[in-house]
Amino acid sequence: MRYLIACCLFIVSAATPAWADSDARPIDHFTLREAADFSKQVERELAQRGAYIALVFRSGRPRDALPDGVRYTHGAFWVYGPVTEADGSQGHGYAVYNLYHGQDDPTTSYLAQDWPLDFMRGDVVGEVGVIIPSEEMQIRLLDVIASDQYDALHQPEYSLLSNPADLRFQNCTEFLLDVVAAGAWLTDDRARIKINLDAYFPPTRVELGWWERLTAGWFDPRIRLDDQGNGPVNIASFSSISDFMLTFDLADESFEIQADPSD
Amino acid sequence: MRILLISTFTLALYGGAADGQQPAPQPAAERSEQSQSRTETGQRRGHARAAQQMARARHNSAQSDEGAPAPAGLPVSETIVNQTAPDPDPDR
Repeated sequence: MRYLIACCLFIVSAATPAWADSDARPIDHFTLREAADFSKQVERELAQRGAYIALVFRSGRPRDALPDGVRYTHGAFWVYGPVTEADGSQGHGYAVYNLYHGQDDPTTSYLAQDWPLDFMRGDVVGEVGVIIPSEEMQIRLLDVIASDQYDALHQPEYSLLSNPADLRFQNCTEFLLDVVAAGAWLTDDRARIKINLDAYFPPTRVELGWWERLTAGWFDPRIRLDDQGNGPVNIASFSSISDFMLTFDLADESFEIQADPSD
Repeated sequence: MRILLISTFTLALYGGAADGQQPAPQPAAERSEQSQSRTETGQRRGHARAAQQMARARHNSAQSDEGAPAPAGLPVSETIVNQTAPDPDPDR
C-alpha cells in the first residue's frame, strides 16, 4: 500500500508536461504573439549589448516545480547573423543552436538550429537567463560552433540530470558548458574537458531523496543517475555556468530578462 | 526488480570523474592567436561563420583603434523568423 501511495504521489507531482525540458516541441503557454514579442525583446537586448553570441536559458516548467538552485530547464546558444526579411532582403538577427532530446527515444539527443520564436514557445515563466561571454570568448565559441569541434563535443546519450564532470551522459546545459570549456581550454577532447571541469567547475547540487533517486527513472526514462555519486546530484545550470564564467573572466555579464507586456 | 536496483546502486558507487589525469591550468581567454588558427577549420554553418567573421572584424577594429569609443549595439531586424530551419549538418 505504501508503495502504491508513493507512486501516486510521484505521478501527481510529475503532472507538468513531459516535454517541458530539452524538447523541440512547443508548449505554447503564452500566445504566439506574446512569444514572438518576447523573443524580439531578448534579441534587441542582446544586440544592444553588442553580443554576437550569448547563452540564453528558459524554463519549460513553473518555478515552483523546479528544485532549489534551478531556475531554467533549457539553455542554448543565440548566435547573431544574417536573416532573410519577408521581402527577400537581408537583415540581421539571432539563430538558436540547441541540443534537444529525441521524441521517439528521449534517452538520445541531437543538435538542431532553430529560431528565437521556437525557443520562446517552450517558455512558461516569461523570463530568461542570459550570459554574455567576454569578447575573446565570443570569438572562441563561434570558432567552435563553426567547426567540426561542435559535433565532436556532442554526447548523444541523454540524461535530464547529467553530471557535468562525467562523460557518460549529456543534456542541453552540460553541452553548453562543454562548448564553453572547449573554448576556454582550446580542446575538443571531452575526457580532458571533464577532468578540467571536475577541478574548476562547482556544479549545482540537487538534493534527491532516496525514494526519488530509486523511482525517478521508472516514470521518466530521461532520468539516468548512473553518472552520479551517492550524495547530491550534480548538474550544470544557468547559475553554476554563470558563476563559473564570471569567476574566470570568460563572461562579461549575466542577468535575467522579464517579458515586457508593453513590448 | 531487486537485481535491477542493486545494479543501479553499484553503478552509482563507481560513478566519478573521467579518469585520474591532472586537470589543466585554470581557464583563461587570453590567447587569441590560438583560436585564430581554429577559424580555418570552420567549414560549415554559414550563420555561425558569418557571426564569427563579424565578431572578429569588430575585435580587430577595436584593437587597431584603441582610442575610439566602444562600438555601439548591433542592428536587429524586426522580422520574426518562423520557418523550418535547414539542418546545419544533414550528414549527421
